[in-house]
Amino acid sequence: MRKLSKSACDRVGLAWRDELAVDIHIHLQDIDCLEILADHEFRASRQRIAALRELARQVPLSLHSVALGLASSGPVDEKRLARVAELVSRIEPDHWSEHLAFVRAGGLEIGHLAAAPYRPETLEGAVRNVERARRAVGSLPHLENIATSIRPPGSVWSEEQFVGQVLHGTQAPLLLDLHNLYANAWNFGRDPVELLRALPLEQVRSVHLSGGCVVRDAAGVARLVDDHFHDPPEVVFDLLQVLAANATRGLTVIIERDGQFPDFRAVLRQMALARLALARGRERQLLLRSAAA
Amino acid sequence: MSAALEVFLARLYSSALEAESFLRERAAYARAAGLPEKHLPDVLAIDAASLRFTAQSFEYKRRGSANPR
Repeated sequence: MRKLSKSACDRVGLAWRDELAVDIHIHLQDIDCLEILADHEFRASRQRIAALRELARQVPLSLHSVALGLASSGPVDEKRLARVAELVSRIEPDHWSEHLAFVRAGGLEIGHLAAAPYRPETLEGAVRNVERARRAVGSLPHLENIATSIRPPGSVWSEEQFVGQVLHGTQAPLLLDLHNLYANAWNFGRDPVELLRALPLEQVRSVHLSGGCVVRDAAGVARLVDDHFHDPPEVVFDLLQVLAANATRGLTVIIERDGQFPDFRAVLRQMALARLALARGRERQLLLRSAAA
Repeated sequence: MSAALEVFLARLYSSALEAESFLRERAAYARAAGLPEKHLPDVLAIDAASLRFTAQSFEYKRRGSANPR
């Protein structure tokens, strides 16, 4: 029996990495949900796809895409979109997701997620691209906020204004990456809770938790890098609690790690911390509702 | 069109060397790259330390095996 959070609609799980596969299978009863990186599976064998499909029957599974480039005034990469659509069709995940980022333009591949200018042309392009993606895949992606170390040149809106307008225009769910949010707050001198509250929390359906490290740039300024090589810091769990106290829908929380994998007991502890934050946040929401009634 | 601005930014983000070239002579570089004049103020206002950090960080991640996010 999986240990569910206070609200039965909330669930806590992990991003699948092959390095964690054995431990994930051993502890599957403690894991509410899993996330598969779509781009790693584009050339997967039939056996692997069959295994993923089987896994999707055992535990709610989401498919996470990283290189469509939805938040761009330019069109989404149709070939990649077709591959994502095929994977969704073959694996039948619970849902799929992609970032609000641009990753290429003018034939140049950035090779990473970049924040496009927060301005009307990007908004219009993002809404068009998400609609294309919805038609190709058959469902709306959960859209993820990204970390950026530079305020996108040419922006006329703040990040939260841009994200809010894309979500309004697409009606897509928000995959809220709390460490990305925290990194942006840190790097641009903002209050992470204020930034969190400025987002349309009623549209949050899924959450990423990860960690990073502080490095100094050439000018000696300390910057927080979202590297997925470190444990989620305490503040990220605090933000999850705030989110749970305000979110109106069940949350699918995924802990991401891309390297320097810790002992799996530490991963299980992080999942327990996430469940605790969710439970406390939900309790607070109930208290506030009772007080208001 | 912000497509031209995105193409310009992709050029800076996809090569730390290009970003350095831009920072040495911003206006001349932007004009030579074909950036429309209306976007010139946007790129002249770029914070140099942030651009350097971003371009180098992307370069580092392109060379490494980390997932691009």
